[in-house]
Amino acid sequence: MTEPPATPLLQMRAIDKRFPGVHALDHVDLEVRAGEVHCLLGENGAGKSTLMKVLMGVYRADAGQILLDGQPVHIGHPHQALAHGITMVFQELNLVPVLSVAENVFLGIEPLLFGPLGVVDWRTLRRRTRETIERFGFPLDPGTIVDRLSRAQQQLVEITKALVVQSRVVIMDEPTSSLSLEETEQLFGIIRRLRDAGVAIIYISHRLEELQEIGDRVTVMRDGKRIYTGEVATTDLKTMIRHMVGRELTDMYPKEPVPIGAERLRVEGLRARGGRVRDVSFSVRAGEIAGIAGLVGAGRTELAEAIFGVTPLEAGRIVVDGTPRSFRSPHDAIAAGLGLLTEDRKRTGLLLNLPVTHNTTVAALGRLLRGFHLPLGEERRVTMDFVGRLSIRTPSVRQLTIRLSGGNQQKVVLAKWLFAQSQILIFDEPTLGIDVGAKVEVYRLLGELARQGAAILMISSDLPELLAMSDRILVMRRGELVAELDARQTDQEETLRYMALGADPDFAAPPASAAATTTNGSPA
Amino acid sequence: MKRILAKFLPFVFLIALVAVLSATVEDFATTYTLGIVLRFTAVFIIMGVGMTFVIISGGIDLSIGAVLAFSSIIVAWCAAAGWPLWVAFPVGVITGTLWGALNGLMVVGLRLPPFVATLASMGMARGLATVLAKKLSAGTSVDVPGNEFRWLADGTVFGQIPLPVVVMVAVVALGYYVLNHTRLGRYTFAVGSNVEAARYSGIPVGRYKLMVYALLGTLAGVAGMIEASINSGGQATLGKEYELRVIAAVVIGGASLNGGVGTILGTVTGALIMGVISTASILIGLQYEWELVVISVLIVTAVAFDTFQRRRAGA
Repeated sequence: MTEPPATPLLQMRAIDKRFPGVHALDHVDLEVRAGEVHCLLGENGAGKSTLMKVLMGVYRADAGQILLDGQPVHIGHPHQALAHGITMVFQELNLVPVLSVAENVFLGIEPLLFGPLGVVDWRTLRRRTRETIERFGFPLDPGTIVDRLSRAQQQLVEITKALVVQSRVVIMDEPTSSLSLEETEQLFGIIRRLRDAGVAIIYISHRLEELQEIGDRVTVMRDGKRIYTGEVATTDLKTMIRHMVGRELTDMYPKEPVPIGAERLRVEGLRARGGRVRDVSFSVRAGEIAGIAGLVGAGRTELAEAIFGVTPLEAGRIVVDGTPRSFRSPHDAIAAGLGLLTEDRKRTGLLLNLPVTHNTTVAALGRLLRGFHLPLGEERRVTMDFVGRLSIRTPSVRQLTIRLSGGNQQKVVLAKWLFAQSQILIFDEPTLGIDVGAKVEVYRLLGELARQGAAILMISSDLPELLAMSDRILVMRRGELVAELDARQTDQEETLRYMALGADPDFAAPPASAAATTTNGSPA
Repeated sequence: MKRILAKFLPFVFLIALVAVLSATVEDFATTYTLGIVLRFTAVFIIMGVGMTFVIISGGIDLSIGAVLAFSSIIVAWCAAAGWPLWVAFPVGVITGTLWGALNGLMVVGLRLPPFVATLASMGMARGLATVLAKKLSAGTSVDVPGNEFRWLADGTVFGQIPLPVVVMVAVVALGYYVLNHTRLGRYTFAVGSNVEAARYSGIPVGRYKLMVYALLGTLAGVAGMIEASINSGGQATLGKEYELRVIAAVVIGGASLNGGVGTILGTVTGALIMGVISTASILIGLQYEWELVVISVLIVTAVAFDTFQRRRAGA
């Protein structure tokens, strides 16, 4: 480790925390200096969130010490963390949708008039929100109701919350997971300004290439222990991944060549959601993985939901295995052999307070039923089989899915569609918010499904992943399909150009797609 | 471990309650008292089984007491009109089914919040029951003279066990099986746990919600038959505030009003706890009003406990 220039701003020493059956934090040390971006890496369940919750006063550590400027402090409640200048930008938005931007920013810390009477000082509240927003150039209006904002803008409101108080330590938990490329760049600009102003930033992300761009130092955690701390500049990605996963990942994208068979899904002139999907036509064949690229808001999820019968078609038709079909609900789509792994697994993917068994079999209960009777032993056996095959980490198949980590939750959703034996699968951001190890397992599974003759439509904002795993790339922009590219012939640059600019003739003439020599931007 | 403990908490409470009452209240620990408790709670448990389904599915039904009264009027009317009892009683039960389906239609078709839909439906059922009763007789009740109509109230099996208790046991057994070992039960949990995820998993959510309300309506009809038989006829005032007791039993039994959580045996335990308290109140000579206070405190405790558990688990 490098020698500390002075006392680090924040020191967490030998933090220990046990939950029933889990040693969540095993004497973890963390040092963060003023004016650095300190990345915290680790797979889901490694203990990052627990450590941050201890720092925020949400959990109380069983043992260990927290020091600010070398002085031990006691943080037993989020209010105390705030008083010490420690704030957190949550990955999951904690905003009140019916309140304005300014009201959300000051929620719980409203400036008051007349002291104990507790009359909110609206003028100060609005003024300080406006000042902060302007200082960082956020595209926000303090008076807007949060419900009307895009997810990216809501994320900025979360960040504003951290900025209005005099933060000394800002924790960011996957702040870019819902941001577009451009917005991510903006956020990085903000992070740099904070860093230059002497704020210590703890940055949690699964996107390793981001850490290289923004991080100064990195700490890797695994199984509740601190494994590694070092300078980002002198740590290569391979090393980080090795520390995270605990083994060498030889092949990040295990894409295997699979013979392409007959056409399984064809979409013709599809229109949905008042034109948010317009005139989309394409087809997918057995054994093929078709990737759908596009910026946030390009209509990719809307397309998936229209195909799956979630929203009605306004025009066009869907042909499955040569037969025109009309799906009035997911029920019909599933009966025709479709499966949709949704982008938001907590909202539309999982029955969170039900066990792994229920979640695995819910889409194809009929496969288990003998007449009226649902054989529970058989269900357990089947589920245990999937838990083994997908290496889902859970103490038992009766565990509630809410208690699993993100990656394992995603594998349960996968198990659901595997059990349903869906032949036409739509994967909407299948690796969102899951760790590297789990990602590779998802990729391997995609390959396996393709080999078994499934037709796969994969939506992803992770371009390296999309390019590596797909056979063909369909690019969407503003609801339309603007390009169809051969994944082996294209590269990130070309795909991005179509995503951002579309098939505008001025830009369309691509420098002969032979630009495939440019290897994918990053190995992870 | 703690979860397991929480699951059995209502049951432990029931045992403790019985133990304390047996030790302190004279004549409590007798088979006679047991008989009273069972007879008293049979109707609540029967409807509680249905209510467990509705609450697990994320809904609620306030109309069941009124539906009970309405179906009692219907069966009395049929019997008074000279229909054979083996027709009249099934018609009474089906009346409950249809009314439950109507509740379901309001919730699914008109997308009314279950609270509002069934509150309105409660008014309709109670009102219609009264109108009908007044049309058929002078007051709010339709009497059916003769002992034949009382077959369900007075009948026994093995010369010992009253028919209402037998019906109750059958309903509990069937309810347990359906909730845990059939598609309907499984989908009920799924819909209540996360209605969106259920829809995306291919569950015809509306159809199953409707079925759950119809099931509860049916059981309210069955309860109506028992009460009609006990009272030798239909009464428009029967079943008042039963919905509160039934919901209380389900909630005390560990179900969550947020949906997705609940068990049949929990509901049975909840209903027995209330039955024991009511019976003991009578033995001690406690006023009904005080009994109401005790039960209300119990409900608050149960719901607060559930919320507390949920908060700790969700962190």
